[in-house]
Amino acid sequence: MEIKSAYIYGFGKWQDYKITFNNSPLLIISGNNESGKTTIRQFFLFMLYGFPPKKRVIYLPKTGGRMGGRLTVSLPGIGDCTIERIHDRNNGEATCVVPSGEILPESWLKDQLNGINQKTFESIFSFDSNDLNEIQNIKMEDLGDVLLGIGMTGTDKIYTTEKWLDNELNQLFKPQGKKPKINQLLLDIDHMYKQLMDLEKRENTFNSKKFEKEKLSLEIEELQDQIETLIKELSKCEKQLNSYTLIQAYYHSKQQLNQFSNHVDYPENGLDRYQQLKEQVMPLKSELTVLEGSLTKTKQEMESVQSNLIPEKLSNTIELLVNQLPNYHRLLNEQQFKNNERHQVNIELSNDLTKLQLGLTIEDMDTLTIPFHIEDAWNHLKQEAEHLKLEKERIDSEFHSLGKQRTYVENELHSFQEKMLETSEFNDMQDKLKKKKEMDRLRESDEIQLKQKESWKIAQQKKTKLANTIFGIGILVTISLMLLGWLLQMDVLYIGSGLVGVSVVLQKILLLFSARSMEKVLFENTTLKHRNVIGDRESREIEQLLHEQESLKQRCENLEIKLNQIKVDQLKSSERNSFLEQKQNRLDQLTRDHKEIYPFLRPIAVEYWPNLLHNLRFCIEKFDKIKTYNQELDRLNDEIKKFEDEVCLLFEQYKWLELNNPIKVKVDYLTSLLNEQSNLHSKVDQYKQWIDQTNAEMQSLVNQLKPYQTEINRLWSIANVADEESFLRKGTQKKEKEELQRKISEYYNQLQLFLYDYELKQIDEGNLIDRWELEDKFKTQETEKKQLENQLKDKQQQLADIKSVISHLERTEDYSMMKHFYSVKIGELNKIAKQWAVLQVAKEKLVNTKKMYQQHYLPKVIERTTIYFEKLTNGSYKRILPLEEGKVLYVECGNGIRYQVTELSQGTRDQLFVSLRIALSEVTSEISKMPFFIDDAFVHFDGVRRASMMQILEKIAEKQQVLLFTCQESIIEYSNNQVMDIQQI
Amino acid sequence: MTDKVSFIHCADLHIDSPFKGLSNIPEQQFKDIRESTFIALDNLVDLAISKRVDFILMVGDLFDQNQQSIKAQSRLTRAFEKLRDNSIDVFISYGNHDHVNGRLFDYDYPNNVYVFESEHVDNFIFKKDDVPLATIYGFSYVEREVLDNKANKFKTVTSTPYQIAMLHGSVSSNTDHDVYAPFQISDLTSKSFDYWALGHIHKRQQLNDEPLIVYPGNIQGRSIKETGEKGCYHVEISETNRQLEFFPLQYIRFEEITIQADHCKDPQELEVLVEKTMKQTSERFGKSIVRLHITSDSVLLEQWYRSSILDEIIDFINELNNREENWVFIQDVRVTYTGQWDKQLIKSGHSFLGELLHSFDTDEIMQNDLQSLFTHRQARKYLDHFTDEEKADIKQKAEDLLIYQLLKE
Repeated sequence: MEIKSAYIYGFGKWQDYKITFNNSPLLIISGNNESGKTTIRQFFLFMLYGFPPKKRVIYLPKTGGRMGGRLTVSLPGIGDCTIERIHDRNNGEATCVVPSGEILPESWLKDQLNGINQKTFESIFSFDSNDLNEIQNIKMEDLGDVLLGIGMTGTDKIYTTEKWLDNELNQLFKPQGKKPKINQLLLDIDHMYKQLMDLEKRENTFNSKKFEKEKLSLEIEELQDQIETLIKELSKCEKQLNSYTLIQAYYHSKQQLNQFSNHVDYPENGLDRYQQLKEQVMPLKSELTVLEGSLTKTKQEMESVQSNLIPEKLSNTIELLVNQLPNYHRLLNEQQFKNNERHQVNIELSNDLTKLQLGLTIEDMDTLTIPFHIEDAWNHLKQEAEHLKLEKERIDSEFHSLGKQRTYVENELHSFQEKMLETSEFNDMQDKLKKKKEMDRLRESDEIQLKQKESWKIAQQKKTKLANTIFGIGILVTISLMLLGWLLQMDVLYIGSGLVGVSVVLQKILLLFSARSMEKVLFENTTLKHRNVIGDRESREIEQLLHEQESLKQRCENLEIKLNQIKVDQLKSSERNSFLEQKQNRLDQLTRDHKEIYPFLRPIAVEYWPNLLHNLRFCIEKFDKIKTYNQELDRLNDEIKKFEDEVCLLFEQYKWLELNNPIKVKVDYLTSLLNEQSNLHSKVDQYKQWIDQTNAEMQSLVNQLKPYQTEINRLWSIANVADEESFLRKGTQKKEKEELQRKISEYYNQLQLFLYDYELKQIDEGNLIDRWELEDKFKTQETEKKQLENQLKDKQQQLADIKSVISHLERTEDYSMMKHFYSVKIGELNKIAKQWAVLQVAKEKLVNTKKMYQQHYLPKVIERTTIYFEKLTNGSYKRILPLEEGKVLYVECGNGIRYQVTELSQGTRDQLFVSLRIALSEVTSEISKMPFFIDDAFVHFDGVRRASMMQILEKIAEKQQVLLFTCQESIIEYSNNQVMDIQQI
Repeated sequence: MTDKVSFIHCADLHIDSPFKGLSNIPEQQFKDIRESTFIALDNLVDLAISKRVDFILMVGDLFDQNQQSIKAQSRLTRAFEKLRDNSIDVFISYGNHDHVNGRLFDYDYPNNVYVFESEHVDNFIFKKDDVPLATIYGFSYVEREVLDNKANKFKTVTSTPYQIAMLHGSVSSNTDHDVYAPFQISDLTSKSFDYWALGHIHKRQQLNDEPLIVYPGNIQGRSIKETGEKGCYHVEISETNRQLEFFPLQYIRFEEITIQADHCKDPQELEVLVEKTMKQTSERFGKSIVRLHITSDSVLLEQWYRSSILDEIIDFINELNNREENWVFIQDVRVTYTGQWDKQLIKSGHSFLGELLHSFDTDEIMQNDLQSLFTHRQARKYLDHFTDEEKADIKQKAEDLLIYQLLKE
């Protein structure tokens, strides 16, 4: 790489500054202190590697403006590229413009730098006077490390990788560890392996178990066979024991049978057949006996009934009487009824009489006669009396009124006569008379009207009074009806009250109405006429006067006439009064006469006599009724007596009951007697019928019995016997034998099941097996069986155990499962081991290469350093020592004396360092050619050494660009003018 | 006219033998794996019954001598009983893994099972309807190893219509497996057998056509090396015709699946891609254990690989598939990516890294580097030594790891 030019936008003190390098490889940039040389060097570093933000801030231009710049470098194989960085753009990241115009990022730049990072760069290609002192501390490892950084990988990368590998490896495996993955896995696998081995052992027991199983199976089979045979024997023996009684029974039966004779005469199934016949006959016979018994009983009963019957004649008489009984009862009822009726009427009559309060008794009634005419007579008397009374009253009033009239008329006349004018006066008034006459006429008519009015008014008042009374009563009635209706809750009464009320009100209204209209008519007329008279006042006064006089005169005349009339009338009235008095006397006489005849009339006014008569008539009627009842009762009593006498006669005759028993008891007795008799008669009839029937039935039974008897006789003859007893006895014997034979065969069949034939034969021959012997045998066999069974049980248990073990082994997948688990674990182990191997190989390679690399390059560096150091010191020092690890550098001078670096002078030390750096740069530039920056490193160099230094630099500059920053202008003098380009800043 | 003979040829059942090279298996999958050899056996029995074959040949390695279990024996016996109930005979010879003297259990096989107990070639005559139809020849491994050529010992000694030989061993030139009972194909073709039923090699192959010389392979793959379908052959031979048909029996398949992930720009895309591929795998192969190869020309893949993002994706997808009926379990992942750095270029310089890469070129004995583990008391006991292939792989991975670690930002 070669730097071509730089343009600083702003960096520290530099701003808008352009540096152009010509093609000469050694560039000396000189300037005084603080002229900004170091800043430029930093600028180059910044452009190549960039700075972190904090460091960038240091170089921000103090005067403002942006910080950054461009650097044009020439790259081998690519050409000129321009790198641009600006502080606040992309965090100071570089952009690179390549010759093709393409713009590439920082990563590309990094690739171009061949893995040499800033640190490596600074430790190889850049140094200043401050670095010089480090030489005394430099060790071989440091040099080695510096060397490792050359190329694409930085030293730190190698170290990080080594560390990372170590770490990864340690996580996977440690020879003595427990935690790492492989160690853990190994522990697991170890554990699994042990388990697997255990399981395998268990699996291997399978064969022996199987063999054992087979053996046990065989043994069990054998045992089972033995037990089976034993069980059969046992059961036979047990059966023999259990049925030992059976054996005995068989034995005894056999013995018994031998005692029976061989043949017996007897009909086949004789007993049964005989029994059947008997069964048929017995019911018939018993039925016959029953019938006979019942016949006898019936006959006895009939006789006893017949003895209780009474003679027919008597019976007829009783019947006749009994037939009359209903009639007798009717009569009794009638008597009762009539008695009641009569009593009732009697009470009524006495009540009526008491009510009349005439002092009459029922006995009086018998004597009391009232002729038909008496009614008219009493009516007439009543009318007469009333009439007389009325007449008397009228005449009295007439007298009175006439008297009054006379007094009045006389007074009037007298007053009028006083008022009368003289005749002269009267004549004066004559002419006016005409008018006066007319006036008189008018006045007359007025008078009449007035009178009429008067009379109407009186009538009206009367009417009104009457009407008011009626109205009052009506209202009362209405209210009372309503109340009653309300109390009794009867609608009819309400309606009634309503009707009455309405009619009363109506009547009142009508009356008022008519009275008013009449009044109107009357009053109107009078007023009219008076007005007419008041026409001419003068004439009228005269006329009035005349008229008055005329009237007065007239009136006086009239009054005189009237007075006379009244006197006549008074006379007439007194005459009529005397006539009336005569009449009254006559009436009184008549009344007295009647009272003589009917004394009870005495306290009673004649007006009430017709009424009294009416009541008396009722009483008489009732009394007549009583009389009729009496007659009828007499008749009834007669009839009853007649019947009762007849009954009593009968009782007396037959002395049935005490005579003093009431008739009713007797009658009842008769009735019951009659009923009883009739019952007895019907019973007798029934008995007769029964007897006939029973006789017929008995005959039929006898007929049925006949064939059975014949059969029985036949059976007897066959059995050679004469009576039933013998027949039955013989039959029983035969049956017993048969039964015995049946039993024997039955026993035989049963015994056959558990007795051998020879044993049976022995019994047949009369030899019975001994019971004790049997029991003994049974016990022995049972014990044997129990032992065998226990053995079997044990074996079976063993077999079951083994079977379950085998089946468990067959079923269990433990081993198989563990095997697969184990296999997977081993797989895992191998996989991780492989991972580990990769890491391990990588690590080994890395370490080895590191070692090898250093071994390869370090001697070269030392060799070159020696050359330069020798040259710079003019051959004073020949060698640089040692190449051993952990030790500081020694130098050997020409005479072989070795010096530590610290023992050297400052200048020599500086020269050693510069030599070392140049050598390093030279060696590494075989790999990566970078510009070589030297900043004021030759301070302690003397002129000679400075000149040699420049020579060396010039030589180097042929291979790589060298940038020398210096404040010593003198150094330029030592340089070859041809190849130098001095940048004066 | 003679009846045709119909039989099933299988070998290397390895019943109840665990799978190899698996780790961190989820429970369900582990259960299925444990059952897989048994289910394959059941499938075999079912096939025999459905094909109504005359008999089954089982040519050795029915189970592993050091992995035998009662479970395996009892399940095998049950299978035989089922075959007996269907009138199917079974001819068994034992191989190097189940050699006679290594047997742990005596199991009474039903009477339809014929076992070659001797190490000498023996024969059984199969009768169909009481007529001898075929003679079956075979021998068993009495000891663990049979190293002499057994093929030469086979000779037809009967006149049945068909002559069938059972041989557990390998061609002497084979280097993949331990060579037992070695033979040359010419040894077999020179004999007048109708069918050579071979066993021992787990990969199915037909070595010859006339006569038929056949390896049926194992019936259930047990490691990632045994990929694809696994099963048996159904063979029908008549006087005029021979038919050979393969039937898969495996319960779980091993598969290597490659995914091109060039276009994946973020882990989610890769995840979707892997998930999709696993779904397709499940649909295509059913239950499978998969080694996943992911290739990409993007530098991202390595970043995901290194930063264990990829592991997380795989774990996630494994978890996702866990509950599926036809699950797919990704056993491991191999990534192939175009490196970020040009190895040759690095090597050409004299930088430290260049030197480092150069150090991998030298055929250094790696065992020294790994001594600390392989000399560990327990680890030594349980760890297998790395094969050359594994060693190469480890070296490659170590190199890649260093480059990545040293050059990463």
